[in-house]
Amino acid sequence: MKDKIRSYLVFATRGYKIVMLFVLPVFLLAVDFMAAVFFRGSAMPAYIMLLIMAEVMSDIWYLGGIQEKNSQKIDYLKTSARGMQIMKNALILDLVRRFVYLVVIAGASWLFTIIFTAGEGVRTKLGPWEVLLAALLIYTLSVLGIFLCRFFSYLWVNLLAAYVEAIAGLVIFLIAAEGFLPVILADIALAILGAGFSILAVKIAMLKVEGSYYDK
Amino acid sequence: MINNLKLGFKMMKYGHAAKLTYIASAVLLVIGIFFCILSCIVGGMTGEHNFPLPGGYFMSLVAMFLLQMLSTVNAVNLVQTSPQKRRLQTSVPAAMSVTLMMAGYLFSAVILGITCLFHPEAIDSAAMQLIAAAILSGIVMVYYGACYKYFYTSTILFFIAFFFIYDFSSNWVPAGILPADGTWAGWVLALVLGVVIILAGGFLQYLISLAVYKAPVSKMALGAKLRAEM
Repeated sequence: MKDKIRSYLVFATRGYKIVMLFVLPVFLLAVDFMAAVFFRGSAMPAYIMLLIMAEVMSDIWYLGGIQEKNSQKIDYLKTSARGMQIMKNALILDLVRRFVYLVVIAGASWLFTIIFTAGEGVRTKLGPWEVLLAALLIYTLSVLGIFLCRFFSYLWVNLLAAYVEAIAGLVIFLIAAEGFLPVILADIALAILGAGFSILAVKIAMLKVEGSYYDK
Repeated sequence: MINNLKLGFKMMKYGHAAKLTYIASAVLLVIGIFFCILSCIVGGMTGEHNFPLPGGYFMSLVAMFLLQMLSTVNAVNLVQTSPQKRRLQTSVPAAMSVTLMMAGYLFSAVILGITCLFHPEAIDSAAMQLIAAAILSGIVMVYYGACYKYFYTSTILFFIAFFFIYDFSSNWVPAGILPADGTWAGWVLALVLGVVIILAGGFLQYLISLAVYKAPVSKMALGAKLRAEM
């Protein structure tokens, strides 16, 4: 396990570690706390646009462009015998990190809502299933986004995908939360889709990276 | 001006990743049209004027994508040593940006106008969106003048200006200037004001690019692939 975490961290620059793994979660938890205390509601839906954009755009500094034909980012890694294993561990642990991150933030949001609004009317009608829906929606869309964007090494491709997905995520969440879609069904569908996209992302990335030895 | 535009359009085709940029611009144009209509209708129903984003902002992004194709040409040694270098870094981008931003702005104005014909209660909201879009386009143009030379400084200033002026432009400015009474006169006044703002932004971009001309082109601004070749 320590090996896997080291493989994940080896791709992360210092700025990435500080911002994405420390500053951003602390900021989001603080906003959640204040939303629960002052507005008696959850801040989770507001995170949908912000988190999708942050997750899709920050990937350009993590593993951006590895599925491209002539990627120069991993030349040194490819000369090592353990290179492919490190790559695979990093890919899998990146997805695990995203999932745990979102579950923790969603769980904390729900916990804050329960603690601070016990007994009074909740201002936003968010139950645990809606919070889970937001988390799964962010996960599925950001994994789809990074899978598509890793084929290109341009920042503006990530920017465009982030915009499109943030809008789509907000629209889907509003449709589901207003009651046009049964939320539990949407949760299950998104969980299956999310698992599918994750497996696809790892498999195709490894295929492309191993194929780049043979210029495929 | 016409010669600058001719050179600009000719050099733009040789930019880096041209086809991908055209596809991305087309997608952004569609999103921009969608947002113009959505923000107009939402603004007509509620009181909020710029929710979620003014459609004109996406038009200015389209113009910026096409402009950055022109600037990737600066990575090539042939351009760095050519006698046209000064034109290609100062007057040509300024002329192109005014043309492209103005085209995007007028296009978004046409879409907003057609939407307002069907939803007359949204005329105020559309007028404020025009002003907000013009101010955002102006900020993008001023940013563009400096970003290829001093990338970090200008990006930080751009973000600060963007978030500060976004709120300012949709609430304070129009309340003082426009007659917010839902007539077409206010809408036309907003349109003319927006045109003036874009022209002023283009002129500022020209001055800033002249001021930073002597500095070398910043590698961070050009992206990973071009950086390897510079």
